[in-house]
Amino acid sequence: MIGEKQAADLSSDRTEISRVNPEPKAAYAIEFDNVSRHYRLQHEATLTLQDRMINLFKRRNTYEDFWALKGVSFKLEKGKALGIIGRNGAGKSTLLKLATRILEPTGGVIRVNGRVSAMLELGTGFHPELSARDNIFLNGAFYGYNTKQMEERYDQIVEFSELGKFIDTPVKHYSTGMYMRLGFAVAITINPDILIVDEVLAVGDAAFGRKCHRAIEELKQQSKAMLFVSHAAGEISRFCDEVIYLEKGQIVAQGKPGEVLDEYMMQSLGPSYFTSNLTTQKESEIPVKELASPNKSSQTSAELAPNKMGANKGLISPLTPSITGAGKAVEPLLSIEELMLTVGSPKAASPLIELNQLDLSKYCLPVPGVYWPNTLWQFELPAKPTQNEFYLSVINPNLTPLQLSITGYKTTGSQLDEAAGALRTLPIGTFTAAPHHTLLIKLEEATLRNVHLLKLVSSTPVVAELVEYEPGNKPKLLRLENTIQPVNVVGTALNWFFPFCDIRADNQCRFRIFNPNEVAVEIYLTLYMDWTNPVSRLRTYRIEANARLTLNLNEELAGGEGERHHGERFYGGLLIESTSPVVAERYALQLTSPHYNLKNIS
Amino acid sequence: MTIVFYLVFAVLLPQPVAPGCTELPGNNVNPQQIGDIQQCRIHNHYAPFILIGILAWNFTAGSVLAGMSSLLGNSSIIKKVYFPREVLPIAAVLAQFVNFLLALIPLFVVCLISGVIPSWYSVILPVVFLAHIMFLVGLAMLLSVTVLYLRDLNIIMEVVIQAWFFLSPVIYTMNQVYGDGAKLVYWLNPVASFIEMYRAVLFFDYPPGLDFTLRTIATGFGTFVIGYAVFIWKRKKIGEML
Repeated sequence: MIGEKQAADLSSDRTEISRVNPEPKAAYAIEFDNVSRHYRLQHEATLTLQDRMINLFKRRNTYEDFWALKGVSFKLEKGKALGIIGRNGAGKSTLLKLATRILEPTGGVIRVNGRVSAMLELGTGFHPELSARDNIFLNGAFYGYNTKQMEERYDQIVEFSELGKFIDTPVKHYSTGMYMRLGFAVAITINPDILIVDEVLAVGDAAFGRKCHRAIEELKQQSKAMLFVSHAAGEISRFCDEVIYLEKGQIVAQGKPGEVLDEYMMQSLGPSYFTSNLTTQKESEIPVKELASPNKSSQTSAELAPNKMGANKGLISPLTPSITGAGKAVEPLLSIEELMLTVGSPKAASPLIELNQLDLSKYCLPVPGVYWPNTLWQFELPAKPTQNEFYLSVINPNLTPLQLSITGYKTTGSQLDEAAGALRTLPIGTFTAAPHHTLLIKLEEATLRNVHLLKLVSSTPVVAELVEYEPGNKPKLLRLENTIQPVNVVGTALNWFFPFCDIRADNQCRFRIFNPNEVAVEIYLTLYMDWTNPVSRLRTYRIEANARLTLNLNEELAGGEGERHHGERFYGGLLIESTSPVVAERYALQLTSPHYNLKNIS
Repeated sequence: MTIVFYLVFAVLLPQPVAPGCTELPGNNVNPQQIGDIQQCRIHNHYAPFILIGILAWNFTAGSVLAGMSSLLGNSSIIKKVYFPREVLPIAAVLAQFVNFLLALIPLFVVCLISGVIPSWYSVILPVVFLAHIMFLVGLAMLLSVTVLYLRDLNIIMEVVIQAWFFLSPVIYTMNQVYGDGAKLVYWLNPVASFIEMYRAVLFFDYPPGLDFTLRTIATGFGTFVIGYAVFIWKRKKIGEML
C-alpha cells in the first residue's frame, strides 16, 4: 500500500538514510564485531489480546531461547567480496538482515560504511498496479534517490532490464522473469557502495544471468564491497575473495573460497555421497600402491625416476578392480603422478621439449585413451574470425607450482612474410598455476585476431584443453579440443582412463563412447574419487553395435537429496572399461574449478 | 452521507427552534441565548455544519486505521529494505490529510451555496491542521507498534472507532449534548476539540478563544511526543515482530 504520494515523502527522507554512515572514510565497508542475534521461539503464539487474556489464567507461556547468530566477527574491505555459505537455517539470512539494518543485533557492534543495496529478494516494494516506469522511481526512493537522480539512471535501468515496450505496463502483468529483471536492474544501477546479494542470481534466462554476473564483476572492479549468499559453489568461487562457512550461527570456517567450499561440501554431503558401493569396496581395496611402486620406501612418487616406473609400462590392469585380493596395508592416497605412471608409458613424462618446435608428433607417443600431461600443447583456431569465446583450461597435476606461457602464431598478410612462409609469433601471456590447481584462461577476441595456432609451454607437465563457447541467448559449448595430437580419438582401446574429472556446480563432464564393433559391448564405469578410493564398476551400460553412448556424469553421479546441482562433489579419475575396444571421448566444459588441495583430503 | 444526516437530523428529528430566530449574537447574550443562536444557525445551514464534522471525522478515523496498519501492511517491504520506519505511519496520515484537503474544496462550495462564509479566524487553520496531524501521527505510531503485539487490535479498533464517532461532536455540537459536561469531554476526547475548532472558525464565526486553541495544540503535540516515544522505544523490535 505504497502510493506515489508516499514515494514523494520517502524521497524527502534521503538525509535520514545517509545518516547511516557517520564516518565517511573508513577502511572497512562492513565490520561485524562479536555480533549475536537472539530469538525467542514461542511455543504458543500470543499475538492477540484475546490470547493474552486467556494466558493470564493459564500457566506462563513457554518459550525457548534461540541464537541465530553467536559471536560472529568479520571485516569486509572495500573492493572485496565475501561469500557466506551454510545449510538452511545456519544464520545466513539473519546475518544479511543485520548488515542491512532490517534487524538489530542483540549483542555486538555492526559498522556499515556506505550506501547499501540489498537484493534480499528481487522486486521488493514494487507496487503491482504501477507501471515499471513508476516503480523504478518508487524503488529509487527506497534507496534515497529523488526523482531527478533517478531520471539520470532511468535509461540505464531500462536498457539493462531489456523490458523495452513493456516499460509502461503495470508490473502485475509481468512474467516472473521480467519482474526479476526489473528488480535486478534497479538494484544494480543505483550505484551502491555495498551490494548484498541473497540467492538471487538465478534470475532470468542464461543470457540475462550472464549479464548479471558481468554487472556484479564490474561493480567489484569499481571497488565496491559485496556480501554474497549463495548455494551455487560456482558463483561463490567466481566472485568471492573470502568465504565464511556458518553452522548453527557460528563461523566454523573462514578463508579462501576453494578450501571453505570443500569443507562445506564435505560436511554437508559427507562420504555417503557416492552410493553404497564406496564403502563395500573399501575392504577389497586394490593394491594399486604396491603395483605402482613395489619399493615401499619410495612413497613420494613425484620424485620417482622414470626408469623405475618402466617396470610398470603398459600396466593398465592394476587400476581395474578385477585384480583384487593381494591388497593389504595399502596406503590410501595415490598421487596423480603414480596413477599416471601406472597407466601410460613413462616416455610421455618427457623432459622439457625445445620451445621453438611446433611439430610435436615425434616427441610424444600417442597413448590412446589417456590424457597425458605435457609441457607443450598446440591448438588450432578457426581461420575465420568468430564471435565465439575461447578458453584454455589448464590443470596442474604436479605438487609444485608451475609457470606457463602462451604464444599465438599469426599470419600478418604482408607479402614478404607470405613469400617466406613465415608465421609471426605473438606472446599472449605468462601464467602461474599453484599445485593441483586449475587455471581457466580466457582468450580475448583482440588477441586472437588472425591467430590460428596457439602454443602453450609450461615448466612442468600440465593438462590443457581448448574450449570454444558460443555466447548469446543460448550459450553452448561448440567444441572442446583436447590436447596436442591424437590422444583420444585415434584408435580404440579397452580401457580408457581420464584422470581429471571435476564435476562441480558449473562444470559439465560428459563422455561419448562409440562402439565400432559389430557386436554389442558392455561398459563399466569406475571412479577414483580424489584419485584414491576407487568405486569399482559403479555403473554398467550396454552399447549396441555401431552405436554411441553419451554419458552425462553430472547426472549419473547425482546424489545428495535436494541438491541444486547434481554431482557437485566429484573430482578425480574416471576409468571406462569395455568388453571390446571402443572409442571414448570426453567433451566437457570446465568453466570454473574451485581450488582444491589434495593434501587436505587424505 | 451528508444527505442522510440532513434527512435524519434536520427533517425527521428537527431540534425545536423558535420561528424567526436570530443567528446574530447581540451585545449582551447569556449562555442560553448563545445556545439558541447556535441552534438557529445549524437549522438554517445544516449541510455545511454536518459536512465539516464528517470531513474532520473521516480524516481522523481514516488516519487512525491506515496508520495502525501501516507497519503490518507493508511488512514485505520492512523485512527486505531498510529505511526509517517512521516514514510509514507518517505517510499514512499525510495521505489521508491530502484527501481531507481535497474534500475541503466541495465544502467551501457547499458553504457558499448555503450562505455561510468562513470567518477571518480561519487564518489559524494551518496551525489547527498541523496540530491535528501531529495528534494523528502520534496516535498512528502508537497503534502501529501496538498492533504488532496485539494482532486483534484491528478488530477492537473498528468497534472503538464506531463508538468514538458517536461520542464525538460530529453530528451534534458539544452544547447540544453535553452541556456543562463539555469540559470533561474535551479532556477525554481530543477529537472533540479539533472538530469544535473547525466549526468555530469555519461555521459559527466565533473566536475560538486563545485558551482553547492553545490547549488543542498542546494536545496534538503531546500525543505526538508520546506516540513517537513509544515508537522509538519499540523501533528495533519492528522487523522481528512482523
